[in-house]
Amino acid sequence: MIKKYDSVLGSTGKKSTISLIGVSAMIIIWSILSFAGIVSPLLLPSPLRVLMAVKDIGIDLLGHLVATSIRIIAGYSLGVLIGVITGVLMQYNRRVFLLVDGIVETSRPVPPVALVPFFILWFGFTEFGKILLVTSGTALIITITIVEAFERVPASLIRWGLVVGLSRRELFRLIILPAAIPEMRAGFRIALGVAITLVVVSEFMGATYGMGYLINVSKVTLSTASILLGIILIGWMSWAFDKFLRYFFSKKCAWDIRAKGAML
Amino acid sequence: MNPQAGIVIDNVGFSYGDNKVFESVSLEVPKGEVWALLGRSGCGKTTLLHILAGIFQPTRGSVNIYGPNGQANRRIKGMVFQDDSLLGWLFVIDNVLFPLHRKTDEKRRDYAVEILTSVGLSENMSDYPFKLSAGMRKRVEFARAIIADEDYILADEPFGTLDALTRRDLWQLWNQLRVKRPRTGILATHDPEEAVRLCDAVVTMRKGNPGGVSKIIRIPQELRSRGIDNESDEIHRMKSEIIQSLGE
Repeated sequence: MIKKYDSVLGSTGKKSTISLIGVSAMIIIWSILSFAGIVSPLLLPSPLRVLMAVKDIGIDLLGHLVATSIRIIAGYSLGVLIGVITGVLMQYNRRVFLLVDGIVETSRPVPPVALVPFFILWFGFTEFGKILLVTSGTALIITITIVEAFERVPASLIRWGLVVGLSRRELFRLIILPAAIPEMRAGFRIALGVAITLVVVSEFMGATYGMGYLINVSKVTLSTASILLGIILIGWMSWAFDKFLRYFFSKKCAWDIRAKGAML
Repeated sequence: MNPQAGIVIDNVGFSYGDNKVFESVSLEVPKGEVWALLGRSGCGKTTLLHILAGIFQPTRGSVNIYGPNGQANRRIKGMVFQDDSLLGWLFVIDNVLFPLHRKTDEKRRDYAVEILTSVGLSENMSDYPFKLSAGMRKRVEFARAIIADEDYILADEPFGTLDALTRRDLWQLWNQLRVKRPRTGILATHDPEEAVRLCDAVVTMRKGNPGGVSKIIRIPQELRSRGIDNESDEIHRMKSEIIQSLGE
């Protein structure tokens, strides 16, 4: 079965070569556009100038990276924790579901960024406020992910648990939870993207360190090379965090045939 | 009460809310026999099995399942379904041990290995279910139903989704397992041939008002002992009798 998937998608080695070609092509086009002077260096700094920006910013760059990473990890983890607890409680108890579902469904269409003014009012420019903004966006997506994932657990598995004589708690722990994990993958990855966006936004509103802060300050001094550097590094960070999530889920779902095609 | 009785269904009725599935069903399956349940979709075959498994409580009447010492306070814990219900995240052996999850030790593990060997899966114990073919997965389901209940088995169209050849292999396995260790049970099916080749009696059920049992047809044991490929006039005669009874 796995062999078949591989032959459709190409082997792992082939896949990374193709990805590399894509990234290289982008860098080459970028270099041509900037070095040949087709686009002004202010509007699109060359790769070389972006590299030089690393030197200009110096050791502070590491501080920016670490600050943003910590906010992502803290905000996302807390959001996952709250989302998982809320989602599980909603599925475990019908009353909790009815109580919370209305709130979740009406706040879901609101972009979390719209909360920023209130967060500044309530928490100022504190670290707590930043992390809470990330948490609020993450928790909502994770809650919906968990509720949906549990609803997708095949009835045949639950029926077998009942025949065997599992208690409600055992049914949840031994059947529903493990069966639902593969269904949670996409939601967790989407929530991670939102978390990263919100960290950058929160650093825009006021911070002394962080990738969002770096971009915001560079905007004032019009050092577009630093802005571009910030953008590239945020991209790499997202990629690294997402890679970790995918690794986690591929480990947890080695048994799930649907995960094989997407596994890198 | 008949001391040979295994499953006694006495005047059982069941409704989902206002929807009456059947008014009154009475059956007495003797110990060691397997009876087939035939009838159109919606006549309540699955519901009846779920009642015997203790998932549903009957709206009226009573169900008694007798243990080896005559006590009747049990339900049937071994069941095989039509749709795939193996736990995908557990190895084959752990799927089979799952019904004993509260008390797994070396001895029970050895027993599970023995049962898996008897269904022809000694090579696949440490595989995830997705690696197995549909027929092999069904074998695992039989193994775990056997371990879940020593004396009884329920089967809800277990061969329904299999191809014709695999189905015949599993029919053979079913009869071998019955010879090895007789179990009392009920097999719900749509296939008259399956009923004739695997069971001791066929119960045809009516749909609608009044639903319930329309006929009980005994199947001579020789038909089974002559093997799965036996094509005698007797088998054809039984099949047409069942089909006729379904149409009534």
